[in-house]
Amino acid sequence: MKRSQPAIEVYNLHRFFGTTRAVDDVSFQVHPGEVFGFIGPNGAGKTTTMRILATLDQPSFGNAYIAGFSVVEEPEQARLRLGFMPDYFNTYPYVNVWEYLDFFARAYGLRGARRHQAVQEVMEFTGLISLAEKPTRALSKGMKQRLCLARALIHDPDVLILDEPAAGLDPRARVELRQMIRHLANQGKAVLISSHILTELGEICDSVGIIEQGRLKAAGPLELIRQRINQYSVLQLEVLSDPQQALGLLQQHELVGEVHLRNQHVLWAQFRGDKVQRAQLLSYLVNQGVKVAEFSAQEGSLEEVFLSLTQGQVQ
Amino acid sequence: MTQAVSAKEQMAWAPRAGFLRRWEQALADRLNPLLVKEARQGLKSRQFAFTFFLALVSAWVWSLWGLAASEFYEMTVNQEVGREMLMGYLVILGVPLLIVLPLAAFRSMVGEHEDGTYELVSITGLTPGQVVRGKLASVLLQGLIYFSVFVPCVAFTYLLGGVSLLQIAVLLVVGGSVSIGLISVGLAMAVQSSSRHFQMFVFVGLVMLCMFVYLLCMILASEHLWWGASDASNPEFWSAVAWVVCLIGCYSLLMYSVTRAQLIPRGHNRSTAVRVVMLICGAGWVGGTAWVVQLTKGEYAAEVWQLFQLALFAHWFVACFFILGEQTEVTRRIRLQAPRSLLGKALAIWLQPGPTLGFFFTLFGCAVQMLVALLVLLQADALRRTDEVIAYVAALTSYVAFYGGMGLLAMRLLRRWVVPSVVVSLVVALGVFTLFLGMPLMYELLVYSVPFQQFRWYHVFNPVVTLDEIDSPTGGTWDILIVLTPVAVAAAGIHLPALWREIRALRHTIHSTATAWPDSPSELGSDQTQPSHPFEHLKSPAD
Repeated sequence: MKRSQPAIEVYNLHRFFGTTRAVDDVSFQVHPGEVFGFIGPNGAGKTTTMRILATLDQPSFGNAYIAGFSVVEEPEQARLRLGFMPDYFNTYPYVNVWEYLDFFARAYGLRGARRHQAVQEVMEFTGLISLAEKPTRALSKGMKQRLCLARALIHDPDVLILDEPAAGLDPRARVELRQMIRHLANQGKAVLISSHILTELGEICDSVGIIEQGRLKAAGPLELIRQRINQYSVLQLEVLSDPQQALGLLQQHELVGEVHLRNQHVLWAQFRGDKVQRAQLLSYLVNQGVKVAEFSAQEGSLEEVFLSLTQGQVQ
Repeated sequence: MTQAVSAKEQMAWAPRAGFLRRWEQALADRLNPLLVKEARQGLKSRQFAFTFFLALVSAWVWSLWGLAASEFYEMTVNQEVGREMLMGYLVILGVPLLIVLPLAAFRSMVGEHEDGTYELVSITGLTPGQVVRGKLASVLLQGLIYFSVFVPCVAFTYLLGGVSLLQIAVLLVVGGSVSIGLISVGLAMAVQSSSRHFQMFVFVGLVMLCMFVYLLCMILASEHLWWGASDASNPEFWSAVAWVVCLIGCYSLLMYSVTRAQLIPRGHNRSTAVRVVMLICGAGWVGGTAWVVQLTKGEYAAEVWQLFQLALFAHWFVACFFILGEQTEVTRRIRLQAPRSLLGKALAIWLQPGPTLGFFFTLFGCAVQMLVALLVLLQADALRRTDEVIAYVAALTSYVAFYGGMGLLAMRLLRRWVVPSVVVSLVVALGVFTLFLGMPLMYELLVYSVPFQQFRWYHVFNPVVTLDEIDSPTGGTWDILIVLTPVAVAAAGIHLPALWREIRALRHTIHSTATAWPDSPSELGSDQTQPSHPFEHLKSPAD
């Protein structure tokens, strides 16, 4: 897939609070249509980085670009191209859902029919149409979260920054949120999302950035990070021929670690390689006369990657 | 037939109605978004409903009571009735305009920060100026609604007689101006700190200020209603009204720019606009000085001039202490907006952010405006003692230099432990005053029991004693200045290295920005300037 210019570019970002290095030399990129998961323990620097990207804070050093506009030199331009959803869902209590969205549409400079259309569209997308007249103070947490997403989308931004959007939501709301985010990414929006629920991020994200103590430990597609940290995937093979032959061949292979014969026909092997190398291994076994009935790989989860890269330290 | 005519009429009206609708739509689109939101929100609030109902009932009760009383005393055509009725309405209308609205503005702005909604507003297309204007306009809209209740009542008092239209107009214009001023103060006070304790403290202060101003306005209104009937024919009265309204306007503008500056994100230039308005306010006092000197035609010119100089001194003195709390960090954003031309560097450099630059700005601003006021006095040839007024200017400027210099020194020490803010500025001011005013006073009380009986060397730090001494024909004016001026010069002079550092930081970074950090992603694309990506090896081949 040919990717265009990055929608989010972060270069050597630093943010110091006194002697504390909240963000320490963080660099990454997010492309249009990509969902980038930002993972890290509490106090790792995720929210600070996101706030700098949302132009709510300034870096001590380094720079970041939203759709090509610097958050330091051109924050006004960057703001018009980003939608930010913070980790709190505060709204104005005495206005209803429609009035709330209408206010933000006006604030983003939408006028006349375009504004009405924008409000209508985001309410439809987030399923708030039936609640248009309801005061925001009477909304449930899940509905407030939808309202905040609708607000972030009102001006059709290129970039979405979502800080812990699924926190405190019930399972159904989480699934719906995941679907909405995937849908937005498919529309070409770049999504930067932070969450503690790693299984969810693993399902939704195209790439991840793992941050601890302000430093980015790794960033990129999960598979590549896994390779970088030499994390094995587990291969399961069912062979119809002599399993000892398969065992011997596997043990000799340079990308295979430990191999276990689980029962008479099934073998488990630790494998360090990508999909292409996996296919080459299968081809090699077949060429050597091993009758392979089943060949599957179980990759390490995002949680395993996260735990292997971080030490649980906070500052 | 009727239906046909009606249809015809409708067809004739349709284009006009369509035009009106479009015009109305366009107007509604151009309204400040915060005004629309606040109007929707504020008019639904219990606070507004309760206050509006109370004001309405009070106006009715006063009208009925006033009429009944006038009937009882057979005073229907008596000139006093309209006057007394109007005073009653002003007392009622003053409560929402001078007390409720400023407090509502304060609460509204504090609420945005407490609820965390301001952050969301700040990343929209709305500028900090639009936010403040939106808040101000929404509170003024409430004021207009309150006022609409009293329009028939005020018209009624005119019909009863005893007050002229001009008197009513003056009272309403001045009252409205004071209300705008207090609302601006309320907004400015609301953004000074996010600490709840400080906000409680500030809220109590605002309540007291509003009540004091309310009482003062009521006293002045009654004075004008009862004794100022002939004022309308006096051109001096109108120029005084115009000057007061202008001055209130200037300080409202100052409060607006202070509020706006506080809403501008840290790291941006918050100072220039505020300092320009400070100069305008100072110019307002200089203008007032010129007007009073011309008006008194030399009779009491020097005395009145001294009063105006005290006001000008107070203006710059307070400004100086607030400026000390400015940020020291010169960010890229500030550097990029700093003046680049030679003339710009020479003149506008004093308007750039930085506490030391700010201190010298207030010092120069005070000195220049006092000298202009002095020239005005000299030109009017209204002096009894030339040395007295020169000493006055020198002493007042020296006090700004001395206390400002000491405050800046204290602030520089405190910066190691605390982040500068208005609260820290107030603490510093309190500390400096305690050291140089409070301690000598305590000493005199302990040693001599009665303070200030005789001028002593340490009284030189006390403006009240010093100015009184200068004013006295037997006072040792030059002895005081010989001590005070060098001390003030030293207090300001110790900050010259810091001033140079701040100016150099602005100049240095303007040149170095382009090479230190790329300004655009396109520059990053070139091989020479692109920072190395720490995870370059993780990029997929498709990238």
